[in-house]
Amino acid sequence: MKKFLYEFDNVKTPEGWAEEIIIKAENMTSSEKRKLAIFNKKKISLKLVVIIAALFVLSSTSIFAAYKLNAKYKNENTAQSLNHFDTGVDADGNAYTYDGGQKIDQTLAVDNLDVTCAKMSADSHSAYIQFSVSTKDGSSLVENSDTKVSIAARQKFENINVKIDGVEILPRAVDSYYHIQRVDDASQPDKAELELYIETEKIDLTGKSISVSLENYQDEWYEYQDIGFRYSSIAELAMQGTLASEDEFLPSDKIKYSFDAGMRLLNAGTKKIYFSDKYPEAYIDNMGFAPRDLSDKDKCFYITIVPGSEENTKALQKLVFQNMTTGMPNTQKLMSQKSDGQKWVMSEETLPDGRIEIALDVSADDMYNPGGRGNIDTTMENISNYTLIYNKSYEVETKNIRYTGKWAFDFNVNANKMDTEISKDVDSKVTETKTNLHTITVNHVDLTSLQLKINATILNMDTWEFESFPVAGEISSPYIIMKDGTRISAGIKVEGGYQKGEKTVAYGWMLPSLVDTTKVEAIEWYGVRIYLQ
Amino acid sequence: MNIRNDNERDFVGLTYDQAVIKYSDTVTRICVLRCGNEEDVKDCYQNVFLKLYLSKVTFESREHVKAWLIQVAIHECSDLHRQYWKKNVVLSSDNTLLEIFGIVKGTEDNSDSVLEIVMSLPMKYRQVIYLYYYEEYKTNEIAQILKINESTLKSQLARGRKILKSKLGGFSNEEIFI
Repeated sequence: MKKFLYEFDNVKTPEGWAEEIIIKAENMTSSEKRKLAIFNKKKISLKLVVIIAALFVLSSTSIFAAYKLNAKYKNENTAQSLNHFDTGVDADGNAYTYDGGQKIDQTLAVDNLDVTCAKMSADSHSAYIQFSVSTKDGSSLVENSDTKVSIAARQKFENINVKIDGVEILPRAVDSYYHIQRVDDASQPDKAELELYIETEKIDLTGKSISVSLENYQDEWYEYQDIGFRYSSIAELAMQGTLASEDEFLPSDKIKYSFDAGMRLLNAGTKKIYFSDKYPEAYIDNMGFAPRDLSDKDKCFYITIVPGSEENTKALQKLVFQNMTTGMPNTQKLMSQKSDGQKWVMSEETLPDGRIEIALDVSADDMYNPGGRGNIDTTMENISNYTLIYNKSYEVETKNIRYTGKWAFDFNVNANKMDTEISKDVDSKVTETKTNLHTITVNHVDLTSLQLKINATILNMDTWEFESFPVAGEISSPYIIMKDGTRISAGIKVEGGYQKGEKTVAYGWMLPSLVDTTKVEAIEWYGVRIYLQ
Repeated sequence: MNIRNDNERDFVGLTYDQAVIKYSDTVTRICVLRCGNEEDVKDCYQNVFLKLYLSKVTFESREHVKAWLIQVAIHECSDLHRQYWKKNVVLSSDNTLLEIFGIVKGTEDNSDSVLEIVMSLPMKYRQVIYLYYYEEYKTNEIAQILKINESTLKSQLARGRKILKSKLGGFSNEEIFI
């Protein structure tokens, strides 16, 4: 017999399980039957209580662990920014770590919050400065309850002030720029890592003093209200009836009313799936998987709701699909537009027949589509991790100052600790492969730990032909070749281009992970190695 | 008032008890494939059959009952899987699980168990390989059960088979599947 089949034949239900479930089913009380839809949830909550209690008993310093487990949702930064100091992965899948830069290691404690300015990596006109924050008592920085879910990516300091040699620079000016972003994954509820990026076009940072003042740590969250959803997940809801075929979805621009682009209109159905204890008259009349629009192949999950009353209509327009792991909402709504025949165009959150249509697209969910690159199919597997909930976020204040105070840091940019800048004239010919027409002579390469710049000349081309030259986004990213053979991508963040009337081009890349320039051997662009040492 | 007596529910010629006995191993296998420990397997197993007991679905055939149970089992396991703490608390390894459910690690000639290797595949490949090769569903039927596009299913199947073959250096294709 086939080995594979033979082994599966051996997987049997342990003795007694079948009998046990038959007896259990027959003896189920009516309340147990009602609860079955939320069976898992309740049982897991009970287990959580036991585990949390055990943790408190086992450890006198169990607060941190308990915070992690006590959260209804997984603490996760669903819009994590790039951590430039973090370990990177090169083009061949090897990990590499940046260990250069200037250590600062200053910690200030105000209002239960320790803020540490840990490290800086700077070249002459730009710098990344690494900050970490943590609560003194191990309490959570984020709020994560049945009704509130902090948005980790939006946690920040309310006010930031940066001075170079005592002179304040502006965050968004022609010759200066700075911003701070949360860069950790928020898996540790009492800690956060932030990165401040500073750019000063006219000021050379070498040897200068930098003052950074951070004021009031601010939290922002989603606020929800339970609707008494009757199913354990959207997948269970989807199993309550036959799903609509794709023929039942109309492209939204083909129908009488004008609709917001990006979703299809789902025909009225004959189902009556009552889904909410709070809105018992409301029901779902149709549901199914279909792509967003005609040009799209990847599917979303759609439902249309018959509200049952005018009062319900208002409330049910605020329904959202919610990821039960992260707590984040994910909903698109089909909006219809009506004109009064004059100049006013009214947007309605209901369809002309009074139904409400919403769709769930996991392409926008970082848990299923990390980095949000391209679209993906929404599947039954995905929607088994979603529920329906009322989003109160637009009715109440959803941000406040969690820790009040000012954390002010002063330090000098140590010229000896600044990363070596490579600035080298070269003469290397490469052929861009987008059109495969243009030969480029690389004339000059500037490389710091933060960025790479290339100046080049286009050969064999009249100026009018520049129209066919690839735009900046189409230019391939070079690799930085380290002496140990590691090939690090310069990333996709490219800027620059060409000037009409001239045959020169200039491109720059902000590196996704910092590199130690003393260990760099070459760059590689369109397959050609350009040696820098 | 017409009160339904759940005990007398007919599942296409089977009583509830008979349906549990008949499809018990099928549900167990799905749960073993998708859960990380015995406790979860049992939780999912019980939930699936309790839902069968309460279901108001009109089954058209016994195949329909079986497909419905497989579908519910997959979603029950996903429900457990998504819980944050489940992802962080591993109660027993897959190998232990296989031993509990009748698969002893290694055969007489000390070669690795194929099932063990199947269990090491990513979840989406595990279930399609099981449904295709063991339950002998057609690709369009599996697509229906899993509610995914048939072409997506076919590519998952091809990829799963490829990974499996690469991991099964010592076995020929025929020995495993044919």
